[in-house]
Amino acid sequence: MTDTVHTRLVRCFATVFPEVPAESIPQATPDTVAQWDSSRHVILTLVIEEEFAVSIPEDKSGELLSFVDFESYIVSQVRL
Amino acid sequence: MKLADALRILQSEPRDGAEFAVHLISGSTPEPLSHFLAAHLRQHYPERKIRIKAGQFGDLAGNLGRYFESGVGVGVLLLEWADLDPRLGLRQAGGWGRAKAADMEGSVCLRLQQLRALFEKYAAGGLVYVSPPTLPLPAVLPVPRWQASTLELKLEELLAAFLAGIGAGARVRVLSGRKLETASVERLDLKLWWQAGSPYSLPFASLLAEQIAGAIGAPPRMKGIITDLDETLWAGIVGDAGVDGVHWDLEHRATMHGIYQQFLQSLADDGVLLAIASKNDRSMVEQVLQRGDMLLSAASVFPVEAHWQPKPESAARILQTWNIGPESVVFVDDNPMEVAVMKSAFPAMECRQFPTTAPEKFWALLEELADRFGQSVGSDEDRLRLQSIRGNAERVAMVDEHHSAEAILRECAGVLTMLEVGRPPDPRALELVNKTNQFNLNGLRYTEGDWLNYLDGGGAVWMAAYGDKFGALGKIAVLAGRREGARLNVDTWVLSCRAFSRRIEFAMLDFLFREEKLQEVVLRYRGTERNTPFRDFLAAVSGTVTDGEIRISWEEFSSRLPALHLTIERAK
Repeated sequence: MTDTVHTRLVRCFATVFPEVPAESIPQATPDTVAQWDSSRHVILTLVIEEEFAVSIPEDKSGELLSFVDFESYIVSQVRL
Repeated sequence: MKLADALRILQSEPRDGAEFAVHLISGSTPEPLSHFLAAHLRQHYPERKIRIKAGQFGDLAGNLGRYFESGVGVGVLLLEWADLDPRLGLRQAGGWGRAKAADMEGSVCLRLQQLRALFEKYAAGGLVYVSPPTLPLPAVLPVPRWQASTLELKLEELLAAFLAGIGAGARVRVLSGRKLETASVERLDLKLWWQAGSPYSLPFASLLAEQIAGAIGAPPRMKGIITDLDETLWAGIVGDAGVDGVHWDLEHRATMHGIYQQFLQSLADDGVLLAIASKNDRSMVEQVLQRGDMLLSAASVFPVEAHWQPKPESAARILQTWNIGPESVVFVDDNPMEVAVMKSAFPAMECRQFPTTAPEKFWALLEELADRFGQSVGSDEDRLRLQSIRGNAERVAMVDEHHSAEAILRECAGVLTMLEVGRPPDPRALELVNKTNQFNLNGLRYTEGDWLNYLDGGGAVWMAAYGDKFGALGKIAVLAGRREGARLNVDTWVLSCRAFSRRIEFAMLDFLFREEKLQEVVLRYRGTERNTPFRDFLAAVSGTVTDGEIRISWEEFSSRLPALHLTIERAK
């Protein structure tokens, strides 16, 4: 069965933030994840772009500040 | 490799692995290239903890100086045009056009001089792999893109002079762009460069990292090539066409074989062992090898197995003469059946078909052989190798024919010269350590960076050179350890298989006990699949052959020391 956007996004977050328990990832924000700094944000964006074959504009990337933000954006961009 | 794959590889780390520090010396943001580099390095060093150390953004020269000052790990200097003048990149806009060209040229010249001065100041510093610019120069001057501007040509000239200058240093390895040129991936990621300061697209960052890791983790070069003759070293069947009927030139549409011959000769000149395994009439083969137009000298090939017996039997005798294992050898033959038979007899041997009718495959074969047998610099030992193997063969023949081994040792009049390795270290020492399997204390291998760190951290290294009436063997043994008072803790000890059966190992220990006034030597022994000769030596000098620290006192050693029949001297 094809993985959902949610599942694939959880995997992206787990790859970039291995310190975060899987069950906490859907609630992840820079406030709840200590390691979420600007450098990791760039890496997270790159991993998500790679996974979903999308290009997130620089100004948009700066607005995506939670798992939920990324999920909403990807769902709006990707036709499954 | 995808970025996510790289990150996942890095999530698991060997618990007890020694740290391997690589300084990424760059003017750009290190990520994500640093992740790719660490992941590719992990594939070369699965038991090491890889640590990528990055410097300050935009300070290439400062980062290089700080790496040299740190004295730890190895350095990777990632050079891009924008590091030499920001106007040659696409992150800062400082003005382009013909009016600025002279100023940009001057600026690049100044930066390169600054870097050159650092390399000269720290000539005995850490090892540096230099990656020349990989990103294209932007359209700084208004010339069409099919044309190279004068500025571009002048900058390339400055860069080439800089690389040639630093590349002559013993501790610098300049990476070639050849492999990257064949990759058809977009190199630039402008969005990432502007957003985060890293100019490379993800696919290119992975490729670049793979090339750098491949250079750092390059395996020791292979040792010998066994080649076929008919339709391989030359075109034609000598048994049918006659001695003058085989060719290797353009006129006879046989250039491929001439190129192969000259390639083999260049490898032989650099110490690669060459032998022939051919089903042929030996006298005819010898006549062809003596032809004046041969590009491969007959003197560079030993032994020549030309007869009608199966080739694996020839290969077995060649390996015995060379005293090396099949894993260090490549077999080349035009006949796929012979290639398959050899592979079946020696699964560890690399067996390649000579592609007589496929020029593009011939080119690939040359490239593969160049990678497997190439080395950064040649040495005197390389040139001595074949000579010493011929001498060994004569020596063995004498023992077989009419002399006892003990009498031969006496007659050899061997001279062992012990020399302490200084700084910068003789590259031969690391070469020996990393390619010797049989007389090897524990199989420990070092990267060039590890080796330099070991020396800089107080490790003492001795090399031994040997010669006798059969000729010089050159530098054939390395012993490395740390001194604690009258005790020497030996971490590494290797002796080339070419120098076996001369009691050189006993003589080395005897020298160290006496000349270094040692009371005890501690050998950090570990059995490997291949180090039976070392195990036999241990049994002879201590009676103990178990993994771990084996202590040998002077009293014990001297009571078990056989007659040496060697003159031992210290190098002046």
